[in-house]
Amino acid sequence: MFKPIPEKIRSLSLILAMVCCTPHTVAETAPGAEVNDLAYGVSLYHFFQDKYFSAITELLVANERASIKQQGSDPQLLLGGLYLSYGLDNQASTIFGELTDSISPVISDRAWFNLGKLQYKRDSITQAEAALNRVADTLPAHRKSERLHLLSNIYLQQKQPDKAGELLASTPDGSVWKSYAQFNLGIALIKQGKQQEGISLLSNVAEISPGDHETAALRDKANLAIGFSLMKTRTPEQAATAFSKVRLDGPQSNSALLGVGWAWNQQSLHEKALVPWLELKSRNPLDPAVQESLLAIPYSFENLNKPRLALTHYDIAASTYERQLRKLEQTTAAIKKGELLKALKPGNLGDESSFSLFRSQLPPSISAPYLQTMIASHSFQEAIKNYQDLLYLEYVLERWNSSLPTFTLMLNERRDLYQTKSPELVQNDRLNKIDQLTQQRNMLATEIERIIRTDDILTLANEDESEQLQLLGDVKTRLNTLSSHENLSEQQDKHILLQGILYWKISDDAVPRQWQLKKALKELDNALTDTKNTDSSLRKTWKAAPDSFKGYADRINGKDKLIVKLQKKNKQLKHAQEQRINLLAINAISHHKQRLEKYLARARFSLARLFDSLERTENP
Amino acid sequence: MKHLATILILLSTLSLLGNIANANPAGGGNQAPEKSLNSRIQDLKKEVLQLNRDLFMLEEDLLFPANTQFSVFVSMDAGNLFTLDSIQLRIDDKVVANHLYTERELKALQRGGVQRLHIGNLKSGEHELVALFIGRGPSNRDYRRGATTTFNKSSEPQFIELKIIDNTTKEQPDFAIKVWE
Repeated sequence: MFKPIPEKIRSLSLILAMVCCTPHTVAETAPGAEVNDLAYGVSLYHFFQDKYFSAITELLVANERASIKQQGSDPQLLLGGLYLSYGLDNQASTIFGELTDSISPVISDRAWFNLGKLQYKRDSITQAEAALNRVADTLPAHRKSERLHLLSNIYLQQKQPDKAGELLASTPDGSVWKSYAQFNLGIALIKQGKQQEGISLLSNVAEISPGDHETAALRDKANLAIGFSLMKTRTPEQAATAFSKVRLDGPQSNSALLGVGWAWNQQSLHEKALVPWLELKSRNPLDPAVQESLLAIPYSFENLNKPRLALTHYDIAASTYERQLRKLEQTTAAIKKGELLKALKPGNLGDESSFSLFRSQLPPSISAPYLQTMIASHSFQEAIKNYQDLLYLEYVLERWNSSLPTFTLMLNERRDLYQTKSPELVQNDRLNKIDQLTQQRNMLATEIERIIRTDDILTLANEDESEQLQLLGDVKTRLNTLSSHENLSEQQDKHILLQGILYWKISDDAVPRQWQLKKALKELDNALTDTKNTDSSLRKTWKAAPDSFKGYADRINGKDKLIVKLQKKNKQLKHAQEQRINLLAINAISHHKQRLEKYLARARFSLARLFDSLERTENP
Repeated sequence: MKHLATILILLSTLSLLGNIANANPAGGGNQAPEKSLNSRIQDLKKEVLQLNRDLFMLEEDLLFPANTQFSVFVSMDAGNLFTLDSIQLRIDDKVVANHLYTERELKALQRGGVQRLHIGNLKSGEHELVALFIGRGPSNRDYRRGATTTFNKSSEPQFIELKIIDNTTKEQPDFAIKVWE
């Protein structure tokens, strides 16, 4: 039932070898963020906030309205990437498949790359390899390295580490992808029994500068892997050195402390081994390394021939395990009551971007601390993502469900208004005067043309001048009547002079006045054209209104039933997804429980054994 | 006895090593039902997306008919010289939009996204638009700038883009307004 130590450590390496480290990435979308069409830019705006549903909707609407004209294949590539991020793999695959035929190598390369990633995600390794090998050389540098990393992983899965090694050589230095590839290949080589080569590759990763959280974490994992691999070959001194390089405040520190304890234990340095294990004892008791250290401590005391101290610590271990087991029972009950599901539900369901916040770490809840290991697993990530997507769909459907009656009401009101206003419109004199106004305009135009053609200066007189002309006309009539009785030659001369001055004044200003007339006519023409356009638009809209009402009604018609149908479907799937999440969580808790029960049994067994031994020593 | 304890403890290390790297592509277990559930969820997502597209267009057509539709967008080129806090938008001296930016929205703008700030209705004819940009400028100082334009609304939908541009020559942000034809 139990394996000897060397076998045990080999098993550790096998576990390590199964781990394929890959950083989080998204699909390669557009070649650049150059935005020539607003709708494309709006979709990008949503995409950059992880609002995939909104971003897809924007592109689908733009596609229907044909409002994106100057972005080439970028929108399609973006849509494919969005589908991929939104979990619609089939739609993404179709789009990328179509884009691989693009005449632009930039587009086709990105399409092949995304298709390769998609196939890799689906575990279709052969197809993924074929797609990734179709990529030419137009990818940006970081994607080129990612492509090599993916191919390297594929070759490792195909048990071709040599080919993976060749790819590794062509991956540029300094790329984080190279470090991931080195890590994965190193583990694969150790698994094949090529420990030296494997450790050599892992050492490269173990020495990288921990510039950010991601590289620091990878560096820790490499040191940890080296340490356990060296434990396997019974070189505990070197193993201890590797373990000691792991950061004390990083996520791997507990495992490293446990490992370094075992490394010293292998050297029979039991007192020294106690140092890291006692440090672990003060850490989070939910961590498996901490839980194991609770047994390792009394084990060391036994080795140091301190059975009473060992007894005390076995007792502490047993109490701690019992306490943890009680907590696990409470946690399981809380999960069954829906505590985890409640925590996964964002406060504001309408804010699509808030959902992604809960995908990297669980929100505070009773069960969250016990599920930290599980949260990184693909199946749990998928389950949470799908569940939250369903929550958002529920919100969307409910929103439309409540808006639809408003649309209908709005349409009915417009229809009623149309029916009320229609007779008024037909009888409205002002709307029927356009022909009359046009006739008046034509008469004016003819008159202006005559004035200019005949040089009819006096017609250009302004109001004052017209009065003056009228006055001069009256004066002349009276002069003609009176001239037969007396000599009025002086007055007649004066009349002629005044008439001449007035004529000269009007004639001097004739050209600007003629221009003013033409300008006024042009303004009248413009106003008339606007009025005709408005009238035509109004008549057209009015005439088209019944069809438009029908069009809207057709678009609304049946949507209520469709919404109800989709809501029902959503409810069923949400329920199934809730069960799935609870099951995964309870299984994870159960895994914790089994381990604790095993530890508890060992602690109790050791307690009994030690009591027995002490009893016999004290009462021989 | 001691040997047994050693074996017991070392055995337990197995489970511990799951922590070394947590990228284990687990899955496992009940694969078939999960696949089926995933595929049903995919179908539902597809259906809701189609419905959402149709109703989104219907809502827009009903509320903002093409002949009166008027939209204002915001874009940013680089955004190193100006950190946008908020925008106030006035049309014909009437406030139609006030938007306070989150860090996430700001990053999306800086990466090349375009925000639809406002959609509404306007009658045909001449209108005045005033945009007030509030944020932090060079040297992290408070910065308020306005940009204005007049435009002639026709019977076609009208799109206006407010652009925040880094003017590296002047080391100052520029605020431009583009009226899309």
